[in-house]
Amino acid sequence: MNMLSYRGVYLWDVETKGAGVRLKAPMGSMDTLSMCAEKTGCRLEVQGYGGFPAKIRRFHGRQVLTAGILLFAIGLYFLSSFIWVIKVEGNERVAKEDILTYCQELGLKPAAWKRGINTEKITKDILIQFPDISWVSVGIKGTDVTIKVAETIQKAEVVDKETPCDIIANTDGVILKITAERGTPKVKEGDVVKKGDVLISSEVLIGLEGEAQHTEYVAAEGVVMAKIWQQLTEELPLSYDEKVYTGAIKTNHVLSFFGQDADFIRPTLGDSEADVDVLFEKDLALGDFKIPISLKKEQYNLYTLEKRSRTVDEAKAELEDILRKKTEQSVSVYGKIEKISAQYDEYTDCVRATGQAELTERIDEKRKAEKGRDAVDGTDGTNDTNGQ
Amino acid sequence: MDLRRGVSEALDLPKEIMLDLPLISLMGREEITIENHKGILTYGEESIRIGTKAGTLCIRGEDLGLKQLTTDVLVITGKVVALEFLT
Repeated sequence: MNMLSYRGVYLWDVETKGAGVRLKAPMGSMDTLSMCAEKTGCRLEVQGYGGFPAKIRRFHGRQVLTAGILLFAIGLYFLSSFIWVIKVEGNERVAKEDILTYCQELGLKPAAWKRGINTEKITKDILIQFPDISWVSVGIKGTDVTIKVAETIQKAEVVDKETPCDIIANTDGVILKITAERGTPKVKEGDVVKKGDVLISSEVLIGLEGEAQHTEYVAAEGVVMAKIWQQLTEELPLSYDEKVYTGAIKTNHVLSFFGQDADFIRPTLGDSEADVDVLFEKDLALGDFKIPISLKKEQYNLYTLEKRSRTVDEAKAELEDILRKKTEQSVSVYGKIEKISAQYDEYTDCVRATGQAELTERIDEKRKAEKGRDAVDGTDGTNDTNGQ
Repeated sequence: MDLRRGVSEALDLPKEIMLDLPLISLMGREEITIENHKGILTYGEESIRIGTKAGTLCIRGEDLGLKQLTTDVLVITGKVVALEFLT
């Protein structure tokens, strides 16, 4: 053993066995072992081969298996050269979809070549594109890209009280209530206004009656509630197809390669049709490396389409409900529905409803004042004063 | 030798290098690492003698075994009972 160690042979796991010792030595040192054993009068017996070189030797004569393993390793290396998953973390105001769409424009998308991605450039471009993002980190780990963002502090809503503006009507209506916080009210309760009419003017006359007066322009502010009308039209057929679920449920397993489903054994549906619910979907992975193969389990809820018909009265009731829902969707948080009136025209195959919804709604909208737009000090720059 | 010792002490250089002395490290009583050894003199499960520049080192214990052996380093495992320099 001393001779071997002197000749640089690494020995390990030496243990006594009867009168001799059993030890492990590198396979490349067999000649030195034989020579040292001969010189020292020891008998050398090889009890076995182990370790990686011995395992490699086992593949001699198994070309197909070796080729398979090699191909698998090459395939794994090849597939791990692509980006498969992109995650966005830390976003609240900026939508994840917006960031992902922009990344896609920059070339960062699933199945993109990993080496072709310039994370520094993407980081800079995201910062430029999204003003609400103050910090970005684009990190690649395995086949995953994690985009970590930090958003800026949300700006407080700035109410411009300097630029003169009028309050105008954004729709036709009859004024119910007008509350002018700043500016001169131009309409009163009961007035009929058209879209675009000035409701609260930016012109304010300063000074007491009989004394010198001048006009100043302000940013008008106020709330104007009005009664407005909406035209409604809806149609409903008298005969229609309805899904009748048979209660039969079938499951289906689907393998996806590169996002493409390979659904070879699809369940037979017969005369029925089916709604498909995905019960679970799992992406396969080897450690951190995502493989572009996913397994999906689907549930088919079978149904048949049956011809149904509704009476004219049923159609009218349904149309009334539809009109109400449509109106409710169009009303703002400040408004409310007063009345919905509809007239029904009956045809051979359908019923058509034409009606009108009466609403109480806020109709004020700001528009920059024509006069005084360029006035810095709030006046229009002309001398409107009396007697001066 | 005295000059080397003096230089090593004056310059605070490692003595195992300057004086070619063995560096013996014990991990509990389970493993001994000896660097700068001069070879194995006797080998057995209860006693192993190692040649060093500082003298013959006798390690006594139970189920002693040689875990590694290279030109410079020697690692012995087992339950160590005693370490003794014989000469």
